Amino acid sequence: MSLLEIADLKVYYFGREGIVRAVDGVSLELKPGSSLGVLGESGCGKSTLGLSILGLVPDPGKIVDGKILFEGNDIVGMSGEELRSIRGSRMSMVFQQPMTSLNPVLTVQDQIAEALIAHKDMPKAEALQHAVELMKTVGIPDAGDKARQYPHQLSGGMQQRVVIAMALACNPSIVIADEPTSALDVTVQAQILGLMKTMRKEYNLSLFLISHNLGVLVELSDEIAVMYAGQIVEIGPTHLMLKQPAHPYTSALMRSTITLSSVRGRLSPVEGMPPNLACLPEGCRFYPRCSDARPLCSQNNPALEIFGERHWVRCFHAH
Amino acid sequence: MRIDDTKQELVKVKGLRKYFPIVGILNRTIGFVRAVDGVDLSIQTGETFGLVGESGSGKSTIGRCIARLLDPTEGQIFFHGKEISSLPLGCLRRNMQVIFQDPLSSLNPRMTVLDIVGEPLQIHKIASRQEIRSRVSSLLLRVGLDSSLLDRFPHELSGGQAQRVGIARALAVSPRFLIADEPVSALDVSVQAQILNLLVDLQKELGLTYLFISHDLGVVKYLSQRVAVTYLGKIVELGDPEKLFWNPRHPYTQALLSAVPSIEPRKDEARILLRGEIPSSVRVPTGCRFHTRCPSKIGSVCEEVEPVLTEVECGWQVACHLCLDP
Amino acid sequence: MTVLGFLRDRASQSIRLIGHNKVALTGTIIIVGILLMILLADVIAPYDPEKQFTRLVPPCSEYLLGTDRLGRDVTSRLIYGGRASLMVAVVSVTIAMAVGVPIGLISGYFGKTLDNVLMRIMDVIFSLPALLLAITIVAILGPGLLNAAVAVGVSYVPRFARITRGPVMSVKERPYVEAARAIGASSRRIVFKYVLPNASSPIIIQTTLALSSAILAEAAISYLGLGVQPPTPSWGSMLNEAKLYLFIAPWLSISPGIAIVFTVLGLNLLGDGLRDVFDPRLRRRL
Repeated sequence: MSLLEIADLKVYYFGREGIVRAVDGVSLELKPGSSLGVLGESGCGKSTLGLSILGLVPDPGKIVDGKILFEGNDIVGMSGEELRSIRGSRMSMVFQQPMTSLNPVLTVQDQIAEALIAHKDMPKAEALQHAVELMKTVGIPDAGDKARQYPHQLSGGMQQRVVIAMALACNPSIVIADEPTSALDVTVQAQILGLMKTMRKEYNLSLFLISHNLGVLVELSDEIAVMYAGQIVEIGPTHLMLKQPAHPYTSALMRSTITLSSVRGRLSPVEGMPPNLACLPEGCRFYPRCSDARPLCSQNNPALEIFGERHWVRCFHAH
Repeated sequence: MRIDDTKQELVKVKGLRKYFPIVGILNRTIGFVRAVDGVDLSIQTGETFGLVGESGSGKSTIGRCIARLLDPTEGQIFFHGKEISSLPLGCLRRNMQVIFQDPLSSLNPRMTVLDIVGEPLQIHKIASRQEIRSRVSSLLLRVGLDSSLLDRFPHELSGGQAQRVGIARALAVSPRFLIADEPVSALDVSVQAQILNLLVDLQKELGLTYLFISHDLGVVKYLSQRVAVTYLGKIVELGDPEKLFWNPRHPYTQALLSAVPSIEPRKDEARILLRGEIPSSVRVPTGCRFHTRCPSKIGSVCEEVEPVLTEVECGWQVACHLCLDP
Repeated sequence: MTVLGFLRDRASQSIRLIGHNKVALTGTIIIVGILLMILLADVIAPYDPEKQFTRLVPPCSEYLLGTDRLGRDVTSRLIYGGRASLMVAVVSVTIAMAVGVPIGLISGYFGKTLDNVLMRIMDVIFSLPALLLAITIVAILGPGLLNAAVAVGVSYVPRFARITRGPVMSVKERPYVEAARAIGASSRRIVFKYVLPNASSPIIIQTTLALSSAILAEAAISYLGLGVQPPTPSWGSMLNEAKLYLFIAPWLSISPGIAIVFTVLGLNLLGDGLRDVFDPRLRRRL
């Protein structure tokens, strides 16, 4: 049984300029213990996707259609109280800027303990003790002393570790991470990625990872879904995606990603810009920027179709 | 000031130190943030010199000192043979310009694109009021933008467009030297590639020299002919990125490279994970600054003696006791 | 670029923009209405505001808003009274802005010792009770409406200095200010073109708030006999006179009260609208 199943999800923002279709028919599945990465650039809707799983879509956004089944129960339409009982205990999140996820006026120990007290009904003393243990687990040195410090007294890497400790406090089945390492230095990022890998094994977690950084997703995800203009354009096992990207956008992204082994010469970037989510074109959303475009593409938006083993593409001419 | 193209060295930095005082109660100075703590480098005409490092490395501060947005605490900076503190500021600004990291916040939200790019032309009286519009249009064209954007405000532009405007502004005075401080870090991957291509083209077209500051090793390696790796205010390794990043000598460079998440299957070496965190720039470790985290620490020499940046091969310098083995 | 040409261009742009912004438009209509009423006072007012008729007559067909304790027509006093109130408001706030904003600008931008000194001076003025300050100034200058306006203006200077200084200090750290230095802009250019426009929202809001409270401050000063000299009417002094007759002649407080509320509303709407109009980020494509 899937741990998380998203079926034809549509999340729209109703603003003065029109309806922004941030998530426009996304279907995904996450099995227990596995990890899925969502790759996309800014404006593709990936953050909205993450927020809607948590029931945190900000106004004026609304889930217009579709289902989000978590452990068999549909999150869409759940009451605030039901959602609050899930968030932080069965399902937790890690966001990009640790400093803004942490309450500046509470010690880190208090913040980690809060989750335990709220969801597990743990007595305060026990929760505080447990919090220190969690801090040790996530690799914070001198956990006993650091526990009584405030977020601003810790470095970015330490703060993110605290956020991860909070996320793990109640033994969730799934952690949703939106750009968890983007605000960190490279060497610190490596430490946090290593930590997340270890935690995943130890706690048998499922990870729903959102990032614009392909390298980070490759390290942590079993499967990668590429998102463009509110839709999934390709999804498949990580190693397959790397070897054989089927969608023109995916291959263009990989071509324009500079790695240490990129040869000096001309990059072949994707020209143009992503479409305005408030007025989407008729046909395939990538058509204006596709080097492989053909007349059919401007008329119809292709559906996700099977391409290989567990590998799906949204393109008429995938090869 | 005419730039003599036959002169090789365009920028020279000697013994640069920049300390920021920390002020306590009653305005007494209780310590210093040693952002840059003894840096020497030289940038040749026509090259792209890369400066890499993480937070606290001082790379941005070095850039700002060279651009004279900050005054050095100690040391000298030479531009085309003349000390920059002796050059009139207007003259310096006409030869040296800066491209900033976050394009949308480095443009005045109350000014249109026309105002923004036309500003340097006005300040330095390069063009008359009637000419400004046409000059700005041709600058925009050169960076790949249409003149329909002239009356737009920064918040109406995409990240890529805004950065191009920033580049057009920098080019308005026809500088010879550009300091690019993380110019693509805030942009999407596909837009990054567009902007990098643009920078490469402009360098060829206009014979520019670049100081390229970034934390992204891949991007720096891609663009630069020479690179300096900085840690906690000092340069730890300097040389040709092709060689340096393929086979780094300094343990920090090794760790940095190993930390980059790779989309290629990793070479069989395990990733080097550094212990601990970057120390504070206020209480800098004694001896070699990296010794608190160095996996290859030799012994007490690392804790007591600061290694000097020494040439180990032609054009390749390292500051490490390991590499200075007699 | 000549200053005149620049102002003309911005003025026509602003007028177009105000027209499209409902809030600003409403505020403008109200204020313009009130201004017209005041300017055309001689034409509109039914009676001489100082002429006395039957005392304490409730509103009727002869005296639309009734008469006051000395038998003067309230409607006429209201119309002429607007002059005094608005005059004090405008003059005092103009003085406060003209002195306070530059102080805040210099203080915030250059900082350090200059900032310390200027702000301590502001603190001293701020700590004096406004009324006491006003009395002192009027004692020196002599009673009268203009002097009252000056007194109020001086007491508002610290407010404007403070409200300018804060945003200036944060704006000057923004990347686009550093970028302006990098292209060679002089301090003067940076302060007027980069810092001030981006720090102006709070100043505009403060202006409308100050105008509103100046109207009430005028009332207090006139009540003490230091402002408008009787029998000249002003809304504030009308309110004060009406206090004694609150239960037997409520119409005496209602009319100036409503006039003040209306004016304050109009000013606030105008201020909000202007702030939006000048912020390019909120501007929709016309």
